Amino acid sequence: MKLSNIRNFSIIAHIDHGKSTLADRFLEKTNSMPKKKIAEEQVLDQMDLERERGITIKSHPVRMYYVLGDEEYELHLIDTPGHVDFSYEVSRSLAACEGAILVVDATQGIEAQTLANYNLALENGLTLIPVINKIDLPGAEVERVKRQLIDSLGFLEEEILLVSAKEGIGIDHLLRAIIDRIPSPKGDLNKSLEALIFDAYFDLYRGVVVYTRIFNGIVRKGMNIKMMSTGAVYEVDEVGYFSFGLHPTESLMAGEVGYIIANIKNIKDAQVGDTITDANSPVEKPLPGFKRIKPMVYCGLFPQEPNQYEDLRESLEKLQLNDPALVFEPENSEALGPGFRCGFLGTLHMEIVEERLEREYGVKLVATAPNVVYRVHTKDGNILEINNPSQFPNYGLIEKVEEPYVKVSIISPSDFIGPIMELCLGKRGTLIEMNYIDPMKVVFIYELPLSEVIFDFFDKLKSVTRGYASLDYEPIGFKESDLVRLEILVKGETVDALSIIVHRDEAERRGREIVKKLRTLIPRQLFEIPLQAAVNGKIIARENIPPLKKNVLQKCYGGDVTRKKKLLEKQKEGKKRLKQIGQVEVPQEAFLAILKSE
Amino acid sequence: MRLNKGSMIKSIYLGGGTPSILPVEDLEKIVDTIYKSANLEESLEFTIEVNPGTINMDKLRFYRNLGINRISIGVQSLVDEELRTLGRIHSSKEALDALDISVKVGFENISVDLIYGIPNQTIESWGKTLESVLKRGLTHISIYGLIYEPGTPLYKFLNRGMVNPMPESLELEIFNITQEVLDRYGFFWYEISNYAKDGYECRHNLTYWKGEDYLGFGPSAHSLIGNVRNSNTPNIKAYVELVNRGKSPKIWEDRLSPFEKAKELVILGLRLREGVSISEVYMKTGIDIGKIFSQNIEKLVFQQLIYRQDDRIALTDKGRLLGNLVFGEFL
Repeated sequence: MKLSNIRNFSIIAHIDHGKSTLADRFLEKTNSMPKKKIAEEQVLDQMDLERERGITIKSHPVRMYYVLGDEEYELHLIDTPGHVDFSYEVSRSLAACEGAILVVDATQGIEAQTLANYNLALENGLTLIPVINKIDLPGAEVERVKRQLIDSLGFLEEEILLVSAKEGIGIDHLLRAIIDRIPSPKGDLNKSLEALIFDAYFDLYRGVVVYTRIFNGIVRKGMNIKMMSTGAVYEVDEVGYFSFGLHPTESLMAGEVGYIIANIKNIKDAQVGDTITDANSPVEKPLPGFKRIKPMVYCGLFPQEPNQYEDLRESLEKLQLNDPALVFEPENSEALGPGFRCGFLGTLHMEIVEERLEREYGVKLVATAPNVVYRVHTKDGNILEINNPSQFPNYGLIEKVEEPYVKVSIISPSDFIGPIMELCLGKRGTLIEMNYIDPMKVVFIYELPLSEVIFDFFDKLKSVTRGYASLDYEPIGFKESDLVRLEILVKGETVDALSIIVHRDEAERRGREIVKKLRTLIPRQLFEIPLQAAVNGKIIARENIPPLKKNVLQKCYGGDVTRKKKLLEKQKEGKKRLKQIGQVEVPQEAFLAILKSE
Repeated sequence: MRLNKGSMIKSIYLGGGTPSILPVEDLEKIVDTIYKSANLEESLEFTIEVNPGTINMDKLRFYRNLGINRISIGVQSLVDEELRTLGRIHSSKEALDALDISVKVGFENISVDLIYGIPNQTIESWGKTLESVLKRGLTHISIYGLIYEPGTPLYKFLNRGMVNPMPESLELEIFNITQEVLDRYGFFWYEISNYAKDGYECRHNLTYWKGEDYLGFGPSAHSLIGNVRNSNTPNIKAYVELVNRGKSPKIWEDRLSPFEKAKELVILGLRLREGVSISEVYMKTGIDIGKIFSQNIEKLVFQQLIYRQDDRIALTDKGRLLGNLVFGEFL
């Protein structure tokens, strides 16, 4: 295919604005797959979890052919992940394109991820086609959304296309616009190979399948390629393109999107954003934008049953084969026994991993509350990166502590300005900017500690705005904070898995909340259980669980025996889910109690 | 249902529900049928459960003439407000009357049921109820702490915040006072919720706690013969039809393995003050509970919930109130 007939593009949108349905329509219009499959809806979201949550986690590229006039065009649609946790992956997918379709729901208007994706696309120099979707719905406010696109994002009225992906309205126009407006890729076949990795997955039989966009040169079977970040060299086994499965071809050429299989055993050797070049005549420097993936959020994962430790390790290893962003190392908790400290891109990534471990691998987990990475400067001049609150150094050794901050954008109807500002203030936020998208809709830009955002920010935001606000954020680096370790003592013993890092001003309130919550979660036992919260060895909150004095079946006669036995069995089942900490039996929920504040 | 030839019946119990509302002629038919088909022990215990407000002097005389020699009266409380809270239809006066005429008619073996832990009950009101019944010459008393059972109106009221449950500390205080008062009147506890004067332990209920055989008749009635437990349909219409067509009204049966039977013997036997004999369980089932549950027993002894004496294990005073923790170890 000549370059002028190739288009590489993405669809970007806020969640539920109709990205996947639109992708389905493209596949249908271009006859890229049998009709029957389309009926199953949203064929690009392949994982069960993706379908259930209505979000895309992995990238799903697909090649389509479309005839316009006398010309046949090769369209590469790269479906990108749809969550802030995966924004780096999104940015690399966008870097593989020349253009993107920005989809906005006619009933919702611009939301936080619309804005975030718009900015990512602009950073990558993409040509954008603004599309208002769901125009067939009764609640559609086409004119209002048009004004938002014109006033806030600077589009021209005539650029905006009106579509109903569900009803198939406006799809032909949109396909034509893709060909007319999005530039064809530029590239030089005669230059050295220069290809971007924008995703990868591990196949049990073939090794790593690398998703790539070729910028210059050509890649074909038998060639030696080099990963520029690691210098590792591989011999290419197969190249091809995606169209519901892998389709091998002779070669991939500058401008094309496709895959490379090169007997790569470890997915970590195919890092998203890295540049592939010809090992025999490498280019001088890699493509811009490469970042090593670093976990943003950590938590401890422990098997509920100690004998499932090995199962958990194996399961994590298997998940990691396909998920280079997941990191883990053994952790031995005094309270929960052997387990793993795991790092994730964000809380959604964490939830997905936990859910897959339980669902696909059958490991029952106890998860501790998530935390961010803290940078502790010690008095003797060292800088420690702490990803586990129980390893936070003692107060006396600390010079200063820094924590990661994020730039948060919140879009909300203007009715909720007050509650949002109050919420952000309570979360140690600094207002950077506030603008009106239209008279009824505001966008806030805040700087907030990431720890506050992963704590219960989203739930709170939803609740103070009755579900109308949307949220997106990006990391902006570390800032100094007055942070302390809040320890929880159960019957006089510090429970490592219950320690958290909090701002000094918040320590007392959180401490009080946590012991209060624990008081309701820990069942009474034969002895009194003092619950204490402490900072630097000083007790700041205390509750008592009085001893259990009475728990007996009052009546048990002939007809009752079977029923009463069931009651006792139920009580016993409840006890099984308890973890023994010292003398005290603590339920799993207790470890998550510190996740939410009242 | 047939009795094995040669089985001796040592107790008959008319109860569960309110058998005292049954017309006496019908009751007579039932009793005649039992007498005709069973070998009765000389010292037969024959109990009827009655509710205040459903009996009179004539009825009680009739019961005595039928051979009924023990009466169990569902008094519950002698405070009208408390009775209303419990949803009982009788008054405290009717309750006292029932007790008085039972004595008058000549019943020598009288049992009363009481409930403590009722919302708004006080130490004083409980003391009044307890002393009033004890003064009238009982031989047996069952005392239950109020339980909010799911599905009952009281449970609903509790969840809606319409009743104030008694604080646990008060409930425990009442429990302790009760032990002292009963002691003064010559009653001793022989089962978690049951007290009797010497020799008046309910023989009938002891069969349940000792895991001995019993036959139940009527809708919902349960039976246990050896290691087989079964129950009749709870549907009255279905029950009548099945029996009339000469068919069994049984709808459920459970065969206990020796291990299950052994565990049941322990759980039920531990309800008794005398506890349970490990060697007796072994003789009945071939299961050595002492060996299989040795760690559990150690733990419970350490927690002072049970004590060991010879080959018996039994609840301590503390364990009596925390029985579920003990039973749970033998499931």
